[in-house]
Amino acid sequence: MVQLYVVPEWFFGFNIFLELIFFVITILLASFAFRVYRASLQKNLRTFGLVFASIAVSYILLACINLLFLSTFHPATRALSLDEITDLKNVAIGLYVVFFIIGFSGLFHATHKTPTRKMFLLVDIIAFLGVYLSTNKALFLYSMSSIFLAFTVYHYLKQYTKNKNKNELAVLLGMTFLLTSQLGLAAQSVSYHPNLYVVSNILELIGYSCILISLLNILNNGAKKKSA
Amino acid sequence: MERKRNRLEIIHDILGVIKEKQGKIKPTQILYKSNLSHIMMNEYLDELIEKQFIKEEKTKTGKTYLITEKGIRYLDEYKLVTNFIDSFGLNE
Repeated sequence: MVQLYVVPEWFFGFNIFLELIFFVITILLASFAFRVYRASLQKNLRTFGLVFASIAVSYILLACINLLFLSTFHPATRALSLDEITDLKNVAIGLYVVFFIIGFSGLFHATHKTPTRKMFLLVDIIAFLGVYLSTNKALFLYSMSSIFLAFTVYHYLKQYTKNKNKNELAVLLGMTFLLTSQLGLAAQSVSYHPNLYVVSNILELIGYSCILISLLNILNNGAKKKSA
Repeated sequence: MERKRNRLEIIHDILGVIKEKQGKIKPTQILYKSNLSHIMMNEYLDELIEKQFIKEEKTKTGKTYLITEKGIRYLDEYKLVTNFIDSFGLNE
């Protein structure tokens, strides 16, 4: 049997709720990026908005996948198995992978100002091929997102070291927690330990909370400036 | 010594100068107030026209530049824009 991940029975439902929260936060971030893009017409802001919109779509798809396709694995756990493949399951998982890869590779591109769209496309094609050809697809997927996030965390670390800005610190911490969460999911795809799935989700929640705090600070400071 | 301004700051300064002059200004006034060379000023003005932050009007006495709604919106949202870009490391 091939499993993508394993969910403890007691956590089932909470995981879907968390995925919906992650969807809301990433859509908020995407909307804000588009608002700032409309005001400044700086192209990398549009890219950033599209990146988080893609990540948001992947969370909604994941919530649907978890609701519809998890099957009993061991007593007290459920798993997303690749053994019984239906067309709908195939499409759902395939779409999740597409939006997930575009999102996390796009985050790397948006923060690193990679020179051309062709470079972006090349990296994505290699990533899709890797997922398709690998025997442990979940391991490849979450390892790859970890690598993209590692570079992104390093970028934010350099920024924070230079500027010592509180909002930058919140974003740096947020991205670091997201990175550890992806590493946890990669580890879980090998060990199938259900607790790792729970821990990864909690780390992801902390990560997105830090990013949300940064966003709310920016909004608050913007509102104060207008009323001054 | 004053630190070098980034692109967004320069755009803010140019639009601010135009808004101060009741939304309408001649190129020489922008040149004096914006602290840019003639070549740089023209580059920025071309960019601002392309992005519809300002529009150019040709009169008998020469060219004038008018700030648009988009330009005013940029000034209003400037703090938000720069905070977001700085916080998320999206400087160009």
